[in-house]
This record gives sequence, structure tokens and C-alpha cells, in this order.
Amino acid sequence: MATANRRSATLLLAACFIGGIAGGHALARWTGKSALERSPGDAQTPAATDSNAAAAPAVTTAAVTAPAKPPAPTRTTPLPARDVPIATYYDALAQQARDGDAQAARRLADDLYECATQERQLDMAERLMDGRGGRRGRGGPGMPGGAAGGSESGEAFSPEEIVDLRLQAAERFVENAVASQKRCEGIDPAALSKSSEWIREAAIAGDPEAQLCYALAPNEWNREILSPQWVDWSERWNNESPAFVRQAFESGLPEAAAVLSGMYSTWQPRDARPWAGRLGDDPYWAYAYAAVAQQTLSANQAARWSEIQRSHAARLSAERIAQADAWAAAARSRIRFQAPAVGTSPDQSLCRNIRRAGAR
Amino acid sequence: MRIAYAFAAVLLGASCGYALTRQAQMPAPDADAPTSVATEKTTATPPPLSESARRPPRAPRSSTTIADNPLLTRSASLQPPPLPAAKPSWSPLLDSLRERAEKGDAAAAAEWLQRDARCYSMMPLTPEPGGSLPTPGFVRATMRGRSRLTSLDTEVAAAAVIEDQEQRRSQLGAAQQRLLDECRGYAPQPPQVRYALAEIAARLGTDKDFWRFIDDPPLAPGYSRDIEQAVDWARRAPGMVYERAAGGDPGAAYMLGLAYAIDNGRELDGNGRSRQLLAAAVTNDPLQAYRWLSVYLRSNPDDDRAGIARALLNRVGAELSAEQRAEAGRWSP
Repeated sequence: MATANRRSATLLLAACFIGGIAGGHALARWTGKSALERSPGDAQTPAATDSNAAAAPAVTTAAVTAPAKPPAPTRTTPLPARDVPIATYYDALAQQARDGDAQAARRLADDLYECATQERQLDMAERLMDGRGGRRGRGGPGMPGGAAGGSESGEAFSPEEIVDLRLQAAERFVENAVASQKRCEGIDPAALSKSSEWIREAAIAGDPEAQLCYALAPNEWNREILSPQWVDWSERWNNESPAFVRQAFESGLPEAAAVLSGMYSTWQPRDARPWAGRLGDDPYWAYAYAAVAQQTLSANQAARWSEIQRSHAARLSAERIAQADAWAAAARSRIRFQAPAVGTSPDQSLCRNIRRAGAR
Repeated sequence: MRIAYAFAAVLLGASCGYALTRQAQMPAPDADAPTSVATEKTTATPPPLSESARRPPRAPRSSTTIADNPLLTRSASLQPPPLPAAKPSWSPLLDSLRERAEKGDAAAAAEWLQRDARCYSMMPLTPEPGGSLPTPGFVRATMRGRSRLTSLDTEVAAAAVIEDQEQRRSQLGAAQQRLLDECRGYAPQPPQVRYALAEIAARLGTDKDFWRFIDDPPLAPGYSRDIEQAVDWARRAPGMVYERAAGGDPGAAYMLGLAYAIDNGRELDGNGRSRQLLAAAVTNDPLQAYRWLSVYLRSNPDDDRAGIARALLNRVGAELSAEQRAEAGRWSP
């Protein structure tokens, strides 16, 4: 009798223990899920946003994030006109930029870039006068490329017309160089190299175009290539630039979707996009971002992005494609995308040109 | 009493269940989430390398210590550049060369680089099927003053200088055919592979391999795709040259003097055709320039470089006092 009682007591204890394990397991699953859903730092990453689509790779806590500043109050006064000498407003704008004004920082970066590259305008004029300018085989904008140059209607240019057009283009470059020279008078040459810091400041302060611009064209901003200071600057850029592209995407730049797709695409030998493959070769994310790019870029780019999407889809299962499509749809409803950048920039902004290049 | 035991069992079980489940939920440390964007590349595990290929650069052969020179300080902590994991490429021959190179065979690394560069140069020179050889593009590529193709292939170089036009065409056609056969199916490898193999060749190979890495590394410094390699090179190359110069190599002393004296190749030939990447990576310093150029000139050189060294010595000397010039002129590493 005593043995039977002892056995039933042991069984009861074992049952309680097993029941406890099951309860603990359920509690852990519930609390774990809640914690994942709450994770605020991952809100901008594909992995976290993708948890809705149940397709995300595991979330890592080792993400490298771009530095960020608390948003500055919205700028109420307009920026100085582009034909005003820079020295007249440099100090005031620099102070505003230091206080976190993204537009002021971006403008200073653009201004100093213009000053630092005036010589390029003269070089271009010189090349055109020597007959070396223009794109190979066909005329660039205003720069017919020799005998193969032609008008849009397909008519060939005569040699005299080509010389004329080259002279006109060279004249424009010289005019731009002279205008830049006037605008840049009185600027300390040491300040010119600061354009790389101002564009970074603008990116940190949250200007999406500056974020993309800094992330995609480091060597346009820091031209002391290979120097010790360039090495330090580039190492920092290397660590933080992908996060800036993600921020630009979250801020609604459709070109950032195209860039991110390229960053997840395998490197191709003839690929002119230097960011290709920077985040490895991941057809899932290359496809997902291409889907967003296809839906948010201009109509004449959509066809090409459909093609890119198809090429990535060929490496994915139907289930993964559906997950990526769901993620892209969620991103589209979560983010208010801007209209894509088209046409030439009215103020010759390097960032606008780089943004357009990002969509290619 | 029995209820207390049962309650304790439930609590113990719940604790165990909770702890085990949460532990299982923890992400693996190497989770491949795209969020780890910047760390993905930097923490990529290179494939196993043999001891010789892994070995960091040699210590300076002279008594110079790392603290003596910032160029050495910058390169002292560098490990060999990482190599992406080997995957079968377009060519089993190149794969076997890479395997040997990774085990420390510098000649194999150099041959891999030579073959890869040759096929890379041939990419735009592949004709339409059935086209006659040599193609005009190939002929043009061999006639340029500084043709990369002629520097990479001795047969092409020999054919390009044949005076008889017919014979030249015939030899160039044969050379193009051979290269097309050699490079059929070519797919360039990632830039990291080229760079890492070039570093192995430079560190363990011949003088030629060394100077090719210094003068013409396999990277485009201004191209942001190559930034990781460019950063590595800018840290590594000046220290490598310094080590050689300090060890008594007059050529290295000349290159170091030049790098300390000028900013870029434009200062030498007026049009920047000479890349002089080392000059871009080394901060100008007239005293160091004077010292190393003096070391070079004391080696009794009889080539064109001596003229350049004297001209630069005069130029940087103007920035120094008579006392500094005298000290630098006598200086030895």
C-alpha cells in the first residue's frame, strides 16, 4: 500500500514537472515573440520589417548603424542664391550646419565641391578644343563625338558643325569656370577639403539625397585619394555608408531601392556600378528591393527593373518570391516614396546627378 | 506537504522549459542577416591559408624600429588581405594556381595574375564569330604606346614590332587566336582575389612582383568599388618600400625619396601618365625626401633616375636650412 502511494506521488511530481516545462516553454515563446516585434532598432532593416512576411533571415544585434543627430528645427529662411559669392555667407551657413541644419550642410558641401573642381571645367574646355572631349562614338550633351556624332533625328553632323558645337560646349565650360571663380573668391583653400565633412554632416542630419550622395560617391567628396587622411575617412565611410543608403530608402528615395538591389547583386565584371555586390550576393534581397524600385521609379526605368527582378527570381523558389513580394508591398505601404529624380538638376547639384545615377 | 512538492516541481519545470526555449531562440552569432551590412565584409572568414601565405610581412632588416617611422607604424599591424572562399572558376588551371598561391607559392600567384590580366584585356577584343583575325581593335590595342596587352604577352609584343606589314598581321592574327583560345569562357574574379594574390606575390616573390604591386597594383584607387583594397594598399605599400629602402635597396630609396618629394605623377611628366600611387600615399616631407634621395645618389646610379633625383634634391633642398641639408646628405638608414 505504502509502495503504491509512493509511486503515485512520484508520478504526480513528474507530471507537475513536465507540465511546468510545457508552461515555461509556452511563456518563453510568447515573451520572445513580443520582444522581437517590439525591437525598435531594427525597424529600418529588411530583416525586421520582413518579420511580417515571415521571410526574414535571423535578426542580428551586430548591425552597424549610421550616426544620427536629433532632427534640427525645419529651416525657415531660404538658402542664399547660387550666384552670390560664397564668402559672404560661408560663416553663417557653417554655423547653421554645425547646429544640425541638413540643408545648410548640403549646400556648403555643394559650394565647396564647386570651388574644388573649377579646374575640371577648364580641363573639359581644353579637351573639347583639342578634339578629345565627348563620349566615344556618339555625342554627349552638347559634345558631339567626332564623325560618329549625330542629331536625334539621325542626321550626321558635318565636320564644320562638329567644330562649332565643340566650341559652344567649350565656351559654356569656360563660362562656368569663370562664374565659379567669382563665387569662390576669398574662400580659404584649406576649407575646400571640408566638403567631404559637410556632406557627411548633411547625411547625419537626415537629408536623404545627401545620404545617398555620400554613400555612393566618396571619392568625389574626398579627393586626396590614398593619402593618410583619406585612408581614415574611407574606413569610416566603409563602415557607415550602407546604413545611410538604408536610411535614404526609409526616407522614401526610390533610387535607394535600386541601389540596395544592386548592393545585394553579385559583382559583374562589366558592371559600372561600384556599389554592386557590396552587401554580398543575396537574390532574395536583390529581388525584394528590385520589386520596390520597379514600382517606384519612372515608367521608362520600370521595364529594365522588371527584367532585373526576373533575373533574380530565377534563383528563388516560388515561396521565397511570394515572401519577397509581400515584403516589398509592406515597404511600399509603410514608406511614402518620393517621385524619382528626372531631368537635369537646375543648380548643377552633384547629389541630384548621383541620385539619378543610382537608379540606373 | 504533497501540494508543496507538486508546486515546487511545477516551478522547477517551468524554469527549465523557459530557459531552454529562450536559449534556443537566441540568434546564431554568425546569422546572415542583411542588417550586419558593414560587418559582413569585414568579418568574412578568409579560407584557410598555409602558414607561409599567412605570414605577415617580414620585420625590417635594418636596425630601424617601427617607432622610427610612421610608414612602418601604419603597416605594422596589417595581416595579409583576406581572400574570398575559393569556388570553382571558369578555369581549372587558374583554380589550381590559386590553390598553390594560397599555400605560399609566389610564382603561382604571379602566373595567376598574369593570365587573369591577359584575359581581362582580351574581353573587349573578342570578335564576332567568324570574323577575320587580327581584328582592327586587337591591332590598335597592340600599337598604343603603353599597350597593356603587349606588356602582358611577349608573343604579342614581338609580333607588334615586326616591320613587314603582312608578316605582322599574320603573327598578330595567330596571337589573337591563341589568346581567344586561352580565354574562352573567361569570367573575371572578384577584385579581392586579384588583390590578395598580388600581395602574396609581392611579399614572397621576385623583385618584379614586388614592384608591380607597388607601381601597378590591381585596383583603381579612385573607384569606390575598390576602396577596401585601396585603403589596404595605402597602409601597406609605403611600409613595404620603406623596409626595402632601409635594407639597402637603392631603387626603394629612390621611390621613397620621390614619394616624400612629390604629390603625384603630374609633377614628373607634366600629364600625369605616371601614376605614382606611392607619392599619393606618402605625405610630403622635404627632409625625408632629401635623406632618401641622397642615399640613392650615393649608390652611384647611372640611369635616368639620377637626373630626376638631383632635380628633386635641389627642389626640396630649397625648403631646408644649410644645416639640415648637410645632415640629410650624410644620413644613412
